[in-house]
Amino acid sequence: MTWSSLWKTPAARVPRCPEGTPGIVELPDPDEVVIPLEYPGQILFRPLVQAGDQVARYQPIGRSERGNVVHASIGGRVQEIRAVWTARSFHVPAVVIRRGAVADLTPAEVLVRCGLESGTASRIDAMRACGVISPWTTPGRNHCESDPGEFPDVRHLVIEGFHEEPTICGFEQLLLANAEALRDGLPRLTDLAPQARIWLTVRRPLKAWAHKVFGAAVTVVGVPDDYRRRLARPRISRLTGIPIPRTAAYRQHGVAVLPTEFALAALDAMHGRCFVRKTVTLAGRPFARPLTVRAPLGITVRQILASQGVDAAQFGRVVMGGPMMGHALYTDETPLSKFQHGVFLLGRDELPAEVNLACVNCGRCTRACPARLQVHLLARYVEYDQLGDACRFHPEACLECGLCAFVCPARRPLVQLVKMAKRYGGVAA
Amino acid sequence: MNETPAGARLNVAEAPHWRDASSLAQMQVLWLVALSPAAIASVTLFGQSALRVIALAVGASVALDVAANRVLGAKDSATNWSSVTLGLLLALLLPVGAPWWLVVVGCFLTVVVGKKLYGGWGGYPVHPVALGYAMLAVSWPERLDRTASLVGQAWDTTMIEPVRLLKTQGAAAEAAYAKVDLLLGIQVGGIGNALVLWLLLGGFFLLLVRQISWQIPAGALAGVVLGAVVVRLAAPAMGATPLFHLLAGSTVLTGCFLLTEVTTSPVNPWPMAIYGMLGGLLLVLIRVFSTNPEEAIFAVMLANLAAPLLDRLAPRARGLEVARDA
Ligand code: SF4
Ligand code: SF4
Repeated sequence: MTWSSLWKTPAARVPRCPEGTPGIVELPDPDEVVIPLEYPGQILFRPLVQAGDQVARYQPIGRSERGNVVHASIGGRVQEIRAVWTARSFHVPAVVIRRGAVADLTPAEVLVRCGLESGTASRIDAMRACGVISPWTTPGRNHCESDPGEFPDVRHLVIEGFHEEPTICGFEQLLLANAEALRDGLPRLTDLAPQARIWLTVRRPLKAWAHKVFGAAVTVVGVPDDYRRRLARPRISRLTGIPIPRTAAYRQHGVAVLPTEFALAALDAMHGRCFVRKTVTLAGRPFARPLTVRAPLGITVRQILASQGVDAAQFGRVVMGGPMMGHALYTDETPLSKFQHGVFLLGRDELPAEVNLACVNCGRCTRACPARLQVHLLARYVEYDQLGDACRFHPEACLECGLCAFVCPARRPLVQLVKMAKRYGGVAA
Repeated sequence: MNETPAGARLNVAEAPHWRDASSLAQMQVLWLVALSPAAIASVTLFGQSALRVIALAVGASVALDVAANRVLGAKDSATNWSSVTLGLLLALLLPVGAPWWLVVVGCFLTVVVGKKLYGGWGGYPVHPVALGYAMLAVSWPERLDRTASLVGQAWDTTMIEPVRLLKTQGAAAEAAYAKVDLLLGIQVGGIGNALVLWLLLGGFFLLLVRQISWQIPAGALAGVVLGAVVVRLAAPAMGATPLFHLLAGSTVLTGCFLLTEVTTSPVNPWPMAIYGMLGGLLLVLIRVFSTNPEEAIFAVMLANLAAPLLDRLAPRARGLEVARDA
């Protein structure tokens, strides 16, 4: 223990998204992209190309059982199909494309390649053909594309104008930059869910502005900057008045949640423009303020950082996502995918000490938990190998928000312990 | 297949990648800051004889903690400062001029028996200071007589411990003390257990820096008031006013520092409030109806034992709702 560690609080240094004018930096195409074909537990694409093929930008290179598509994000030659580590530490097949001079596909050609005709294809099919996994079919953390079953009608469509993590600003920046386009395009989206009530969530300082721009068509909701209040699941349950169990997908309960980036991509897709460029917010030690860039899918973290003159090897930890829920990367060769919104860097001297002392039963974890779990007991049951008892405390309600471990003075790995019980409960059930 | 990834090798760990600055040592240092007004006031009032006991208790506690770590090899390290706080708390309860061997034995019973043998901070079922002091109290009650320890002190008040006078004279004892004197600590007591104002300052500090939750002291306050009112109604001859109970003896020390100890108190809001109330109620009942002068210690231990049970009144986890049918 050092004296300064008694008072220094990293929470005081929480970077804020830049207010006012948005600035999304467009990155040029890299020499090589790596496009994963599988998101374990969510979706699996079968490759449509092989090593040596010439591919054009927007050309479908993988297709799933249900007709969802993944595209080449740059034009060039398929180098190989090999295994890569994804941000969530899975080893999955991926297509490696080397940049070359190949003309882009036109929107009509994209549809043809997917077996559709422009003009007659349904909006949902066109969206899928352009790489937008729409909220009406989206797989996600709690649901796999191949899950059977029909979903109920969408009764609530929530457009998220910010991300839960305080360091991820892409959704907000896109909203600021494309507010008119989103407003004008919205009817075409909401047509797909005629019964739905439309919500737009923004950070509180933007509420008045958003209300002026979007008017009466949507219900604008201002969310305070407090991380606990930003967390999506409890917030959306409260907003819509539908108590969605933690283990269910929103869609199973008639709620569709669509970040601005995916809403804009869906509108683009209706015009045949494919979703191949993704925003990602860089934050942490080398960045005074979070910086949002946009780059082709499949660009590696190393290439993204290099574009800003940053070398990951100089940092202690590189996190895909944000500081509270992100995944620490094993290698900076990890590619950017559609579901990753931020990169967060920690200096070597900033690594939080994982000392894992004995619990002193102070209960801060339990009082901080937005799911109201008895974290102090749950974690000790897991620690003493009593997983069955741990499961009586409903670990499946955990949001994996990280607040319990954030406040623990004994610096215990509480989220892992709770996740272990969660996993075990899943196995036992 | 390329099994080993190219590129930089990085440090991996589970989220969250931020932690607040709290640590076990920080908690204890804040408690020490909170106890310091009382400790300073005590040295100002009683001079060397208080300073000697405080220094000895803190020194002996740390030394015993380190020695016990050597012998027992516990995970609970002395660097978490918990033995310093325990030593200081014990010293505040002891009478002025306690003999050195009593202090050392008290520290042994507190730190080694009360804390270390249960596995250290986090493991013990009752407050180590309460346990240690209770063992002293049953072994050498005459050595802990606070009234006798202050015989030489020339204060313009009744030189008998208020709680003791209450036991013999009932409600009439209240008239023997001015409330302001009680508040300022001009009452017969231990080194620091009755320095009401200074302890209150410390308690507010702990609330301010969020080391304790308001539910426990508030519950204790309610418990003491409730106890005093009940006693007044049931046995008017014994019933002092609630204010007297709050200002006399160790009430404030108990509510702000003993009941609030993190390991031995419940963690959920309602259980904390009920626990505080139970502690306060027991304090008054033992004070009025028992001949034992150490009401605070026994009230704390009994409340501690109820804490795990009370914590079963935890709120239900959120987010398990079964949705209404569409
Ligand atoms: S991560 Fe911790 S605080 Fe967050 S919901 Fe899970 S148990 Fe509760
Ligand atoms: S915050 Fe840490 S030390 Fe406190 S009860 Fe929870 S796990 Fe135990």
